[in-house]
Amino acid sequence: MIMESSSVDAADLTGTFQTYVGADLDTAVEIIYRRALRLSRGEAQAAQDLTQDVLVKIMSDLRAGTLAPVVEPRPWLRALVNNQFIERYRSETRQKRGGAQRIGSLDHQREKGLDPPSPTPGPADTVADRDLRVRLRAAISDLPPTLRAVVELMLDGHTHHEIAEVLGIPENTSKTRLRAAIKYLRGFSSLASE
Amino acid sequence: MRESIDHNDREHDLGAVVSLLEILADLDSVDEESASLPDGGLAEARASAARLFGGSEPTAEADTAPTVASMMFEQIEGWLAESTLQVATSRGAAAAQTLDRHEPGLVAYGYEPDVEIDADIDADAATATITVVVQPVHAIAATLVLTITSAAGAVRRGTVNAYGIVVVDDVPISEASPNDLRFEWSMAT
Repeated sequence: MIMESSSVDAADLTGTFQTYVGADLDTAVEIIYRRALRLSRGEAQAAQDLTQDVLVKIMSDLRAGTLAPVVEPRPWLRALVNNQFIERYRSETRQKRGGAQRIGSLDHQREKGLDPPSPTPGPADTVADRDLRVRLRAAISDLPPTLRAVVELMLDGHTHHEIAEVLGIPENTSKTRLRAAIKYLRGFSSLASE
Repeated sequence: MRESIDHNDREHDLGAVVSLLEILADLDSVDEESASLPDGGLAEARASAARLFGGSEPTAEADTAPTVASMMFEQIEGWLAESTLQVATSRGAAAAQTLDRHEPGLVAYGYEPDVEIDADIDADAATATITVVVQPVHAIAATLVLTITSAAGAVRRGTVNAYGIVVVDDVPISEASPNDLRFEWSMAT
């Protein structure tokens, strides 16, 4: 079920948030902030900004009516933080590598039929979310299945404890497989940049 | 050409995933759910969330948020809007023309009132990197933070460094709503 955008009123956003996300705002903020702080390596200001970006995205999806009720709030919220981190990383990397030189005008983007920027994200953002998930899956597709399973669950916001339960393996095995996967991916990464 | 772009995209995706996983693996021993949090950090995040979602702000905890000390930069929005359009129409130049501003309020914090503002606009990503140069008057000037907030609530911050430069990356811009950015100085906490 996707909510109707007309049913969303600004005053009801907090209640709507709880209905669709499956956690009250304070609880959700804590989950998001803890993951953001971790990914920001303890840098408080960066964690605040990352948290805010994730909340803005949720609010935009709620307003646009593109958010389906969340089944597992904790991993879902952590995955949103992961994705926001990845988008930022990509954006910064592109700038460092001179990506800003590859500028096409916004009109030009529209002429080419690509997504125009919009102040009110709509269904395209849901498509973008799916696109990011597909792209990340493609990036790790060369991993052996046992390692890939751990990485996919990690990208989906699960903790080692949860991964161990889902895959029926000891928690330490999940940690070991994650480290092995990183080593594996680092090898691909250096090959890709050559 | 398309293959080259796909290759770069995949390389960026891979780099981003590795970077994310490395951080998560580095902190394997930390229990994310029960780890101690910096003083006031969670309260500040909740206060921001309450503002964003239009609910009541937690009054007792709001004191922990940094105090906004000063001023708005008027006219920047118009300049940025004009620059965005220039980039869009010229399809090449990425840097906006430098904007000189006179901000008398900066004197109170130990800085000259004249500032220079530059923007590098990435129309492709619909973001801008905004650089502001301020001149300290005294040997010891207050450390200032520049906060840029979009109407959608996205917040970007940068701190003035020892050379009087503050860089704010990844500022979301939109040709459709170019005047929705708010610029504010505050004292670093």
